Amino acid sequence: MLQVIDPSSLWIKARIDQGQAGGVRVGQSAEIVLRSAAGRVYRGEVQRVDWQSDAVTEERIVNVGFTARPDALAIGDLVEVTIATAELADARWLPAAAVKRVDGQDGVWQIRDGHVAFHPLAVGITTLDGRSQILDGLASGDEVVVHSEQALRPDAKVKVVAAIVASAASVGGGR
Amino acid sequence: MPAAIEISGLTKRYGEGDAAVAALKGVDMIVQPGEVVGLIGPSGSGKSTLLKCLGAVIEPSAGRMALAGEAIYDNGWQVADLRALRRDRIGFVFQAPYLIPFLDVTDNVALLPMLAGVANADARERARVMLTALDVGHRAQAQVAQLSGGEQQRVAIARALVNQPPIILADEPTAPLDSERALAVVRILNEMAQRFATAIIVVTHDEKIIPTFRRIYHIRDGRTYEEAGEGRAA
Amino acid sequence: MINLAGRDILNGWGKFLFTGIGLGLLIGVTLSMAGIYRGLVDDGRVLLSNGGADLWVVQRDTLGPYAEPSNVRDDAYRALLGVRGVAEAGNVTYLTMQIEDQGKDVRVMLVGFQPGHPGEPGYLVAGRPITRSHYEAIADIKTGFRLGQRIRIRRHEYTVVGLTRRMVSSGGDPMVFVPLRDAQEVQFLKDNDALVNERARTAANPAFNRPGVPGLLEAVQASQASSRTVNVVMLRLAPHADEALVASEIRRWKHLEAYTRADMDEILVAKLIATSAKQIFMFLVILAIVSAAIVAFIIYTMTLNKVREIAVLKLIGARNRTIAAMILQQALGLGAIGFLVGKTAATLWAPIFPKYVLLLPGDAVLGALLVLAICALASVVAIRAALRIDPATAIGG
Repeated sequence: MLQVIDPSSLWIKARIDQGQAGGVRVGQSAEIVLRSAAGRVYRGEVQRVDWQSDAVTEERIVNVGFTARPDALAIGDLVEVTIATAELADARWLPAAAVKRVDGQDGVWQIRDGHVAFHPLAVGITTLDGRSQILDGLASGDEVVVHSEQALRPDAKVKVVAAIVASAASVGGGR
Repeated sequence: MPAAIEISGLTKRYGEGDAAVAALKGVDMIVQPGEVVGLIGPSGSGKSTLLKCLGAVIEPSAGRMALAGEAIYDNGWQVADLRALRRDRIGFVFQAPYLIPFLDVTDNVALLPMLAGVANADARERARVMLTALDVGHRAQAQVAQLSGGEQQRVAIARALVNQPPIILADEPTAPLDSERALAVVRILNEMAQRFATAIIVVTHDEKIIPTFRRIYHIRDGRTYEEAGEGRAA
Repeated sequence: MINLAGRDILNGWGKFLFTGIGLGLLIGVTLSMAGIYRGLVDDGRVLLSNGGADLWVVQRDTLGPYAEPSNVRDDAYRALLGVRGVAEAGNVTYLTMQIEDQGKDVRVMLVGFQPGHPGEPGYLVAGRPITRSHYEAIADIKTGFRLGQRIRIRRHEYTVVGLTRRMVSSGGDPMVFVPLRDAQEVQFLKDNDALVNERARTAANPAFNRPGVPGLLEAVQASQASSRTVNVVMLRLAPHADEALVASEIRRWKHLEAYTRADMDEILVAKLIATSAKQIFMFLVILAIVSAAIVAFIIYTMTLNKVREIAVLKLIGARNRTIAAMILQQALGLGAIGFLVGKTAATLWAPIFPKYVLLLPGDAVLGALLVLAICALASVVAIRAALRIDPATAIGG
């Protein structure tokens, strides 16, 4: 017995962690990177979101199709899929590194007069490049801690520096 | 004016019982202020022991010692603080200068008044005066190692004199010196004795300087014998 | 009165300084040893506080996850969340491994964690948290990795997106945080040859390879290759929850072992670090004795070289007190130089040590006092010898 497959009907079966899969919709554009050709990025789009999720792995199954199918493709190949879920204009955001969770509540450590205090916030989405949307709770000009040398405690005294790690410049260009 | 040094019947025994050795067997001696007397004797005669007794470094066995009329030993020490006695009232000149190598010339001499509690500035002033008197004032700032042997000896004499003690004990002060230098030292001692009315006992066997003494004490077998010396000017 | 000790030292300051430096290096090593011990204990403490956990749930009858291996099913957390007092739970895996970086192997502890759950790094010194579900990593700066660097861990390449500080294993190895799934694959998935062999063996087994049941063989092979285990589940408790109570509840009903912070502290510090601590303490004692002996020897030699001068000083009327003070001051001076050199050296070379060296200001003060005390004691030998010198020896023959 042979299995015959129509190449134009090849899909990518993408498994997305349930915690992150909420914003995925059919029709959203996707970027696909083949493990066998790591340098090139292919375009694609979400074609189906399975009703049945995997309860054991806690993942949702999403089928993504190629806009232009690459030539050298084999069934079973591993690919990496990035889906653009939503675009927010005029969103106020902070570096994700600043958002911490204390006693089950999201917030940031605000700096006032050289001391820090935890300030609860409502946080929206977080982008892949590490920006967290702030829904409310901060005014422009408020200072918050992004990077720190140790764990912060309420009312601790802090010294603000430009960068903790001097050679924190990225290797090979930022993303 | 009382004699500078007066010793009568001084005895010193080392050891106990049958093994006892008597280094001094009843020594009598008298020296006036300003006098320079020689103390001559072969080795083993007890001259070092006599010097040590006079210098209050060892305790005699019996007898009497008086310094400027004051009894310091009368079959027992009459003075509580022997160190203070040595510091204030007895000057020492040794075979070798025995200067403190890590102090400069002035401080070597100033050390004595400082030990007596004199303020540093005053002590150094006194030192400078004495160094000048001994013709080594121009070397006051030098380090000990930079001085010649003769200069070092003169600094040592300055140190012995700086507190103006009534007596000075000189132990073979000319032994390492040639005849010209040796006579120079004797000349200085005589000068200083006159100037400061100090009595000086010079232990020696140096043939070169013996003729300079006016009075000589010979010591043999623990006993002393006085003799008039030639008293030849140095 | 002039300071005799000072003058004597100034006269031969080269020798004195040289000796002081030698003694200083010895003291520096001693201080570093004390710092290493403190660093060991701190490594352990920091490991416990960095996870942000109140309870560690591990395999029953083990002292894991740090002192002993421990395996827990990764769905155990659901049952644990149901225990009263438990607010959050996080699956965590630990694996010590080597990662290659520019030809060198860096020894790290690979930590698999779930973002937003206990076990994730609490603070960053650079970069951002992990946002993708796979193939991103946060590394401790002790690894030497830089932001944006791509590192290879087993089958995949990961991008370093964030850096932390003082996130180390109890052995001092820097941590590299990756998503839990990736870490599970690294730790529990076998290598390709073993997988192929196992697949072949399963396929050859007629119980699993039945022509009448399509999909059975694939299902069996998939289950063999899946990784459903973690090393520990870290729990964060609700405020005002009694951790001992929750721990005993878990022990009783969930067939797992649960350790509070205090329990973990004891396991780490008392059991893991105890041997090293004893060794270091022994070294400290030996070094202290050697230092004391050296100071005693040097001061004694310096004194013996001055026998003639001391005799003359005594003869011309210096008190015993003055002479003893001179010797004592020289010993203390030597100790002071030694301590300054030692403290400076220890501070300078502490970052270069492979282990974490923790020097507290209190240690410096204590060290200084000890050094001075040892020097004072060491000078006693020389002082006794000096006091025995007879001033009469200055008068010859």
